This record gives sequence, structure tokens and C-alpha cells, in this order.
Amino acid sequence: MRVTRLKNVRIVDGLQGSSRPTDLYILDKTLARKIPADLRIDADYDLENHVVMAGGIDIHTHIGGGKVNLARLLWPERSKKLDDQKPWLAPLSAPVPGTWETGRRYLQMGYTTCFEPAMLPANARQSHIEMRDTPWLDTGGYVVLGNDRMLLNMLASRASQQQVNDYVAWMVVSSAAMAIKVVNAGGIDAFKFNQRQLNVDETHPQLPVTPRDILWSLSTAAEELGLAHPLHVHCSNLGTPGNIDSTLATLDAVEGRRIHLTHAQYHCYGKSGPHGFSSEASKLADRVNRSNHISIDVGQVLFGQTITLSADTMHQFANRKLASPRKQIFQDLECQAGCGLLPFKYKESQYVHGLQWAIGLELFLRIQDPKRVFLTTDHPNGGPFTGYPHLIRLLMDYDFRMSIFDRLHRDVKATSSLPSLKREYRLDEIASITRLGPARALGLQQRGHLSPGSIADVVVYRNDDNAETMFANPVMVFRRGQLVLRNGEILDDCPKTVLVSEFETRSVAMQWGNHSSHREQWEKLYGYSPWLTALTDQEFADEGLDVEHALWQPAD
Amino acid sequence: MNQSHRRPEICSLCALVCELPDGSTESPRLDGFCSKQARLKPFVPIRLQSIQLQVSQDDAALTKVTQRIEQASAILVSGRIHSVESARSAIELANRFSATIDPWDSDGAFDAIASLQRVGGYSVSLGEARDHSDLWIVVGDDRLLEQTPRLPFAMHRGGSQRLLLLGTWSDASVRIWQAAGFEVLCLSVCVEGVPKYLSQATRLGQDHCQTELGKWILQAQYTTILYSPWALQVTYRDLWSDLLSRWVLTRNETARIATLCWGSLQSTFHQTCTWLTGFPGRIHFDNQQAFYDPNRFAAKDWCRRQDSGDQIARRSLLLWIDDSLDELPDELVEQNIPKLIIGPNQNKLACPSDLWLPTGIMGVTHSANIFRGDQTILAKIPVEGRGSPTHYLSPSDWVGRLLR
Ligand code: SF4
Ligand SMILES: [Zn+2]
Repeated sequence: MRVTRLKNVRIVDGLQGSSRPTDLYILDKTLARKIPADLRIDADYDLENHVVMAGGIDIHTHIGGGKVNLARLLWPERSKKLDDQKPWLAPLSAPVPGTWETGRRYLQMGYTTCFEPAMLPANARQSHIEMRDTPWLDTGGYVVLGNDRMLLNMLASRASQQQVNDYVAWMVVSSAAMAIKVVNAGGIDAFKFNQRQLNVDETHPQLPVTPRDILWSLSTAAEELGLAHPLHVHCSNLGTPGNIDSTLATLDAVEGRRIHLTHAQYHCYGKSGPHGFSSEASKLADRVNRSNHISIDVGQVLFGQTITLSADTMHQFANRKLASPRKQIFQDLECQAGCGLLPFKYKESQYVHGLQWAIGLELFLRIQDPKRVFLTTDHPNGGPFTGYPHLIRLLMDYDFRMSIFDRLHRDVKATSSLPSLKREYRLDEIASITRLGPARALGLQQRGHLSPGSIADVVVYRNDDNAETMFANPVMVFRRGQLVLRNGEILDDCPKTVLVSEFETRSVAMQWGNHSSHREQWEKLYGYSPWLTALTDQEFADEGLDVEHALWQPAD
Repeated sequence: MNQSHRRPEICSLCALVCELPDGSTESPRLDGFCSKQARLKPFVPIRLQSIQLQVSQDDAALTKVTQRIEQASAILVSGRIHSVESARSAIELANRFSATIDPWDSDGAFDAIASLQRVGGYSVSLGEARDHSDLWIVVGDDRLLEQTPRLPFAMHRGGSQRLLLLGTWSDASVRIWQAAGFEVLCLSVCVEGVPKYLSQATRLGQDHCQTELGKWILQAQYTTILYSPWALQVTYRDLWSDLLSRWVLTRNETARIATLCWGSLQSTFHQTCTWLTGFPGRIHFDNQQAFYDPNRFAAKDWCRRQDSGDQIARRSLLLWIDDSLDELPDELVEQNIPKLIIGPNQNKLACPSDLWLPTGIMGVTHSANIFRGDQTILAKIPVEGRGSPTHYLSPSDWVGRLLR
């Protein structure tokens, strides 16, 4: 057994505040606080003035699949590295870089597990293969449902919840998914019929189904199946002034079942204020504070050039004139969803962009439980993931936050309540929003914290008053106990794992595709059999990947 | 995971990746299945039976090949690279040996990519259009059907669907589209002017529209315009696509319409290269970094440059990776560049110094992931049930050995 000791280090994992300097052991691939006296220590690191955290977990980052690859294609220009002295502050070569660069840059920030949140069932194999080609990260994906005509037809014909559950179970297993995501429930399909908006209680243009029906039946399926992660929801009316109403209606639609709202920053806008656009972050934060069954990730906006990409063709198309530079890609995809891509530049001087920045921070600062609000930029939508250390500094340092706030459009300064939020995140709260919280929300029992027996994905940071410097530049990263990065330099490759959801009926879920009436319906809709796009564990084994099954357990 | 289901056998002869009907290759159900293609190439499993590949696993051969690669002053990795696995290997090889990489015959793909990078567009996948489109417009000529014989059948969902053929189509082709079930209107027009023609036909609105074409488009709920860059007889394909895409994007402000740009098997390379490096191909690796220049790093231009001087030609090396069953292109055979061929065919070896590392056949002796032509579905071509003869190496097996 290989034993590594991290000596005199402060343990920060969100389970309790920062520890006093202590020793942490890595025994092969897992963690321990003590070891038998007769064990020989193979590697010993004295880490006074350092903190150790679990590997970062990104619950929502677009890193693999058709639209991600289109975003790469859309941006052939490459930026030059800006600062040789501080390579960690260098921008990505492009807003959506290739998989090699993505894996490297995540590792260089201390992230070890990432989830692609929008796998189209028909395109799940591509998503997984791209993630397989993203080194150093363990990965998983959420399968997009709720605009798939198969489900819409089932709901329209008033299929039983059991039939819906069986279908959802098949989709989750055949896509090797961690969770189900719904994007603008029913709205993407409605747009294919030339409808430009669909509110939570509006009926689909062709079928007697409303977004509320879809949200209810999918959240029920997630709960009754016992999926590791609750329904992951991109609400209706993305980015539209006044969308707080439909966001709250979405929360009502699941009637108390667990729900995760993604990139919530884009979904809590009012329409008052100087430009008909205002913050309603406090309304959403209040709701989250009052309801233990809701978690969110923020989708923080960071200033600069990026590409926005979303399965929500309806709203991406509505925003197409905002593309900068002026080029856009849209797709209607395989009776399941679509995608829209717009290059986009967030500017400090622009009222809406400045307010979006403030709204995201408001959510972080107003939501009290750091285990139910997670740090994301919805990479690349709010900005590339390499902005995380900067975002952490914004949360930990009021003066720094205000120094940027002071540069924003004067109407943002006149109307935003951000200055009154004096809260500064502590290190253990940062560990919660980047590790422990996402792990709990995803049913990853052995990740996200440093308890004895958990997976030895470990990051060591040097204490620094400047949190951005600290989090952009880990001193060491261990993957499964193996030292893979030291002082920014990558030492070695490491094996990779695919994370999928465990649930009780998982072992029989694939039988759905053998059922003759299901096959008939599928072939009629798609023109091919259900098995053309279905993935198997064997494929992952052929690619040299382990498969880990995540299981939800209620938090104590 | 329950693996007891029946997984389909999938044809890997073109980018339609058809699921094959149940039964053996002698099954009468295969009658008429892709007969045109079958006339050109015997059906793959049958062909395998008649192929006796020589397999060299000799370390001496590998050493010789490695030496040749290391001695070369300029290397191009090219070929017909049709699977994710071969693409990955080819890119890894190019990265390791600081080579230029571009698949053969990639002009059509790069014209489409150039247009996408400049303008973007609104496109639709095959399954979506099949289910949802009440009007198809197919632009091009018979070559589309020669390359992808079963496309009309994959496009038609049953029931009445209208199809407009624009370009140069033979009567035989028109009959195939009709046999698939479409109500066909064939207009023999010069393809060059199609984007303009479409926008003029719809400009006046339904009440004033004079042409049949315009009426069909204006009545349709969802129109799909299908074309393939390699079956498009126009002077500047990229500019042609720019015009069409701009019109389609604008028209979507009030109606629903999309394009379906049908790619070849090589689109799998472009996809894989994009996710690995951020670029679709035509890159040169230097010091582990990829430099992209679609105008400088085209395979054919590289060969022309090398071939222009005898000395240069002999010091350069073409690494040809082939997933197809075709012979080496004639234009390449004539060129004086040493070649290392990794593929199932020995080809006509022009230079005495040419080397060949024989492989099995994609989808027959080794499994592969390949994209359907609309690049939405990545199909796994399995080899189970075909007796998977393990002693045949795939291109990626060979590259793995070379890199080790
Ligand atoms: S159309 Fe293409 S994929 Fe389908 S059977 Fe014919 S050659 Fe094979
Ligand atoms: Zn997202």
C-alpha cells in the first residue's frame, strides 16, 4: 500500500470550518486521518500555511457534445497568451477550447469532476466520447428530455406515470446519464412549429400538453425512480425581463419534489427599472431559503468575450441580433431538442450585462445555505470556467467586489442592492459551493469532502490573501491518490471514470427498448431502432473507462 | 446493464449508417438493399470472406517504419479517415511527429466550414426533418444518390410529403425519389443561382406568388433544404452557402425553414479533430501546438509543393491512413512522394520505397464510431456476430504500436 502524508495542513471541506493544522493521509486511492503505526510513509509533504480541499466538482459545464463542438468550430481565432509570469491568468485559447486544453485547465484549478448538462439522447455517444477525450477529469452527463416528441406524445395521450417512468429509465440508462435535464419544457418543440414563446401554463401548439405537465411528470419520474440528482431545470423564458414569474411557477409545478434550477441568474429578472430590466434575485433567494428541496447553480456572468450556447433555440433565436461578432448557428435536432449558438461579449459599460453580473452575485450572497447554491458560470454561457478563481475572489472580498461594481453603468449603480450585501464567503463556504454541495446534490457519497474513506481527489492550495491567486494556482493535485500536478506542471495521466445514476430498476431499464410496441413507436418517429443510439457499459470499458454508479441518499 | 438486447448491424459503406435488416448476408431481405452501391463494391461481409490479408506483426517492419518517419523532414498525415478511432490516432501521430494533417478530398468540407465560421446558419438533423418537414428541397445531382443510395428512403416518413428537386437529375433518379414515396417536382435549374432563386420565389408572399416553387415553399409549415458540398456544381461553394444560410436565417424570423448539409464519411474526422484540438483539420503541429490554416495546410497543396522538387520529395513522407476499401487516388500514385500506407488495400505502390501496414476492415474486423452525414448521430459499428477475427489490426492498433 502506498502511503502519502500531507503534514501540518488545514483541512477545509465544508463539513466543518477550517481545521487547525493537522495531518491527512492518502492510502492508495482513499483518505485517512490516522494510519497504523507500522505503516511506512512513502511520500511526505510538509504543508504549513497550506489548505487542502477535495477536488472541485463542476455541476454544470458544457464540455462535450454536438453544440459544444459547433462552438469550437465557430471560433477558429486563437488568443495569444497574455501573461507569461502568471500563466494561470492567461485566457483560454478560445471561449470553448478543445478537450485537451479543457482537461488541463480544469486540473490546473484543482477541479477533478465535471458534468455536461445537456446531452441529447441521440447525441449522447458523442458527448461521452468527447468527455472521454478530456484528460484528468471524471465526467458524467444529464440527458435532455421534455421536448422529445416521444414523451410529449405520451403525455398528450395521458400515459400513466408508470409508463413515463419506464421510458425515462430507458433514456437515462441508454444515454449513460447521471440525471435528467429539461430545457424550456415543451418550448423547443413549440418553436419548431413556429411558436415564439411558451409560458408554464400555455398549451403546446400541436398537443394538449403544457410545460407544467412536463415538469410535473419528469420531476415525479426522477423522484419515483430514485435518480441520484433531482430534475435539473432550465426554466421557460430564458433571459427575458419579467421571467421571475415563470421561474416561481416552475418551482410550484413540481409540487414540493426535489428540483435543481440551473443558471438561475438568467431566470430571476423583473421588468421595472430604468431600462425595463431589473433584479428579482431576492425573490428567488427567499424561495430557496425557505425550501430545502430546491438547489440552484448560479450561471454567473463574467465580463469579456464568450460564446453562448443552449438547447433553447426559441430564446437563442430571439436574441440572435445580439451576437457579437455577428454570426449564429441554430439547429433543430432529432425530435428531441435543438441548439442555438451566439458569440457574445459581456461589457461592464452595458446596463443589462452589469445588472446580470450583480444579480448572480446577489444570489450567491442572499442564499444562506452554501450546500444548495453552486458555483458555475454555465461555461461558456456566462463566461469561460477559467474565471472561477476570479469569481471566488468576488465572493470572498467585499472591497474587490465593489471596485468592479464602481466601474459599471451608472443605472446599475443607482438601482442594484449589491453594495448593501456585505457578506464575504469563508473558505469552508467556498468548499461547499464548489465541492460538498454539488457532490451531495449528485449523490456522490465519496467525493466533495475529505472524510476518512473518501476518494483521494485532493487539492492543496497555498494560503494567500488574494483568493484569485490562491485558487488559480494549486500547489498539488492528487487524483485517486496519484500526484498529477505540482506547481502548475502536469506530471502524469490518470485513469478516468464515467459517473452514472444508480436506481432501483436500473438493471431492467434497458428492456424497454426490446418491447415490440416501444420499438414500433420509436422506429416510426426516428426511422431507426432504439438501439442505434443506445450506449452500453461495454463501450466505456472498450474506451478504457471505469463506470461509477451514484446513489442518492437523503442528507442528514 | 442488461446487454441481452439485439443490437443492430450497421452498414459502414456510406454516411447514412443504415441498420441492416435481420438475417444473414444471404438473406433475401437484403435483395435490393443498396443495390447500386453493392454493384460498385461487393457487400462488405461477403467481401471479407474473399480477402486474405497478409498481416505483418514483425517488429522489424515496425522499426523500419519508425526510422522512415523519424528521417522524414516533412510529414503529411492524410487519407480516408472515417472513424473516431482512426482520427484520434492520425491526430496523435501528427502531433508526435510535428506533421501537417488534412484528410484527402476535404475541399467540400472546408467550404462548408468556412461558410459556417463566417455566417453560421440554421440547420436540421435527418430524423427531425424526416418527422417534421412537410417540404423537402434537394439541390444537386445524381451523385448524391450514387454516394448515398438509400437517402430518399431514410428521408421519407410515410404519408404525403412534397419534394422539390433542383439541379440536374436523371429520370432514373427522379423515379427513386418517387419510389421512396415523395410527391416530386423536378426543376432543372442551374444550381449556382439557387439561393437567389429561392429568395426571389418567396419575396412576394403567398397571395402574389407566381411560381409553383414559391407556392410550395410558402405553403409549407417546415421546409428542409438538403444539399451536399461534394455534389454541388458551383464555382464558389462557400459563397453559395453564405447566401443560402443568410436567406434561411432571415426567413426564420417569420417562418420555419432549415438546411441539411449532408456530409461524407470524412465528417467524422473533422468532428474528432475539432474536439481534440479546437480545429476541424488542416493543421500543422509544431512543438505539441496546433496551428490552423485552411488555406495553407490542405493535403493536395502540400503534395504539390513537395512534389515540385525531387530532393524535397524524397525527404518528405506521406502517412496515408485508410478506412475505405478504395484504391489510392490516381493523382497521388503519380506523385513522387514516399508513402506509408496503413489500410486494408496494398494499392498501387508507386515508389519502390513505399511501405504498407495492412489492416482489417472497419465494421467487419474492428468496431468503429462513425458519424451519420448530418453529424448528429455517432453510430457505433459493432463487430459482434461477424466472427470478429482478432488477428486483423485496425489503423489505431498500428498507430498505437508505432507510438509505443
Ligand atoms: S445507403 Fe449507405 S449506409 Fe445505407 S446500406 Fe447503402 S451504402 Fe450502406
Ligand atoms: Zn447550461
